[in-house]
Amino acid sequence: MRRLARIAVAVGVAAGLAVVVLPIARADDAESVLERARNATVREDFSGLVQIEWLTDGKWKTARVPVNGTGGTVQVGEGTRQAEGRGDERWIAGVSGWQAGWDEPVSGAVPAPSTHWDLTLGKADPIAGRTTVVVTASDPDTGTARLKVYCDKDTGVMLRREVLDHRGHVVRAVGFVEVKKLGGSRATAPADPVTKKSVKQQDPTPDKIADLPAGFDAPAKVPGGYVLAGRYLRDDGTVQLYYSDGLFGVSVFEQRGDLDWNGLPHGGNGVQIDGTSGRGYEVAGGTVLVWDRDNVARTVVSDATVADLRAFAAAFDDRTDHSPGIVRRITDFVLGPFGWS
Amino acid sequence: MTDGVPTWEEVARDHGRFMYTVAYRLAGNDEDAQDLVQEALIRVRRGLERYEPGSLQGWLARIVTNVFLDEVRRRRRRPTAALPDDPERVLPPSPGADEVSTQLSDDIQAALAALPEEFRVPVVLCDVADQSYEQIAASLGIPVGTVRSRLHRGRRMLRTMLSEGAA
Amino acid sequence: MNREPLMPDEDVLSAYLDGECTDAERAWVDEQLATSEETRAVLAEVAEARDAVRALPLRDAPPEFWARLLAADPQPVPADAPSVPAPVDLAEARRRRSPGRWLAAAAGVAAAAVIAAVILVPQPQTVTPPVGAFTDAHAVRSSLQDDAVSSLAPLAVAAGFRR
Repeated sequence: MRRLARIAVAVGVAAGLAVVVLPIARADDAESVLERARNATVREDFSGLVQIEWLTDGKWKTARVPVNGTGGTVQVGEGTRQAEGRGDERWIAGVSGWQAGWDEPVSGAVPAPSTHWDLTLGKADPIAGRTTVVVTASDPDTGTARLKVYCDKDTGVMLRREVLDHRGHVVRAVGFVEVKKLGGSRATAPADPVTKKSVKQQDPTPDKIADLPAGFDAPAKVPGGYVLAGRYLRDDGTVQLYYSDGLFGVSVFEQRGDLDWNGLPHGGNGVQIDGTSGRGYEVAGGTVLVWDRDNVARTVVSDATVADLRAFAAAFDDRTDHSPGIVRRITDFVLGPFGWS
Repeated sequence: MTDGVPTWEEVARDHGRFMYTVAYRLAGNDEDAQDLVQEALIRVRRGLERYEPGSLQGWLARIVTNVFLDEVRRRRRRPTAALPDDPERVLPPSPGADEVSTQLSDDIQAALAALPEEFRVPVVLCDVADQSYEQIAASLGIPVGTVRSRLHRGRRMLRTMLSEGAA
Repeated sequence: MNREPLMPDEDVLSAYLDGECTDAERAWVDEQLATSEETRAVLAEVAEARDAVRALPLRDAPPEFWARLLAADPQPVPADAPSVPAPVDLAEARRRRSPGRWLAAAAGVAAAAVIAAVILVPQPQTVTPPVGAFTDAHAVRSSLQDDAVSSLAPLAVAAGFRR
């Protein structure tokens, strides 16, 4: 999967003009940029404004969120809508106050991005006033770029993540629109955020499980490069799975029973998943598909495109082993204006 | 569904709850909401013959709204209760002496119901039915700028009522 | 007490929250938000009202509503019935309560039974996925192995799901 890319350089003329230079680096340089970005917001102090953009029913929606990081604690939002992360702990603020969302280390390994994707590294236009490099992840079968990750050249912090559909169009993005502070020395010791009262007293983290209850599925791999990285049982009996292909994470929630359609949130679109009717939503948090089959209701969430998530869902449902090439070709079909039909 | 046109069963199954919710938020009570939905479903059934695939929920919200506004106009011709005609004199909801509203949604619903229709309808269409300004403008036959200003005034009135109710 | 409008076109703040303003208007609001505490206060108030209505749950009709619609004797729609019905006097309709008319005309008895089954008969072992909670749980889990800012940011956005 790794390729050496040719390096092309053009030098500017002496009148002070600089011609665009786009060094194309090895895939492992791109991978190290991604790896560095994974933890950069924990290493570096920062503050700014992040914007989430997503296409839904052909129309763009946006939301802006103030963010900051101090001493390894990442905070997003303000007022009655906030979340905070420090180490393995996650806290979410709701109307009734702070609640714990997670408090244990995760051990499941995610694949290296270059396992499934072709990566290239290049320069990009500045984002929020910062000099930026961009890692482009392309489908090895089609050469189409499907994800772009823009990182601050200096600190490695991810400045923007763009998800592209199979035609190469951006359909979702999250990134800084304003950077007030990024990097620099840390003046004080990190504050301990664990003074927030948890409204719910029970363990917030779903239990890691080795064996699934009868009737549930958790294939170790799902065609398309996805590897199981977490398997949990929630307090209400829901099985929670986390898959990753190195760049896209997909959560699968499985519940025993048939779907109560009238209980689903209103809105969304009807969607077909391998011959079964389901419902899909595009929201700030990603694409969500809900369907049921054989007395198990499944919900999948990811920031992948609708078409890719449908392909994941169909592959997950189907016990037959598909080759990755077949899954990609299914995904690449134009399935409808917004991929729902 | 055929060619993107839903069957009547699909509308009732998949969107009945949505229609009832919009009707309830417009009308403010279950009895009127039931009548609204009943009439709206009659119009839906007949309209399905001419329905062109697009935003189904937008179409359904528009029908429910039209039924609601038809009823409002009918009642204005034969008023059964005093309706505030000066939007600046909206009164905040005042709970009865022994009525304890512990649910936030009851307060919000009461505040919504206290809004004059010209402000309540855009708020419900935007924040309950999730319609765009353009869709709301088309439903109500008013310019987008008017949608925007009525929506904004409606929200400010709501906030005023909610804060006064909580005080 | 209603305040005087903050600015001549204060309603741009609602459009800003709804994503319905132009780029120029958005830039102007961003500038105002950065410099004016009063603008921030007004925006917060409007956002509060907006969020409060958006958080309202879906409303169910009373169970007898659907039962009543299905229970009455079927009456065919007259052949000369107008294709677009005239506005109905709802008070009169309430007194008449002939709910079966439209259902039978629309769907037929067999389909009515299907609707009754879907709406009225409790389905065995049905589940209602808490879609919003699952979306949040995904954000939390993905933030543990990916960039925390981009993964957690959606948790700070007003719920995109309404029940």
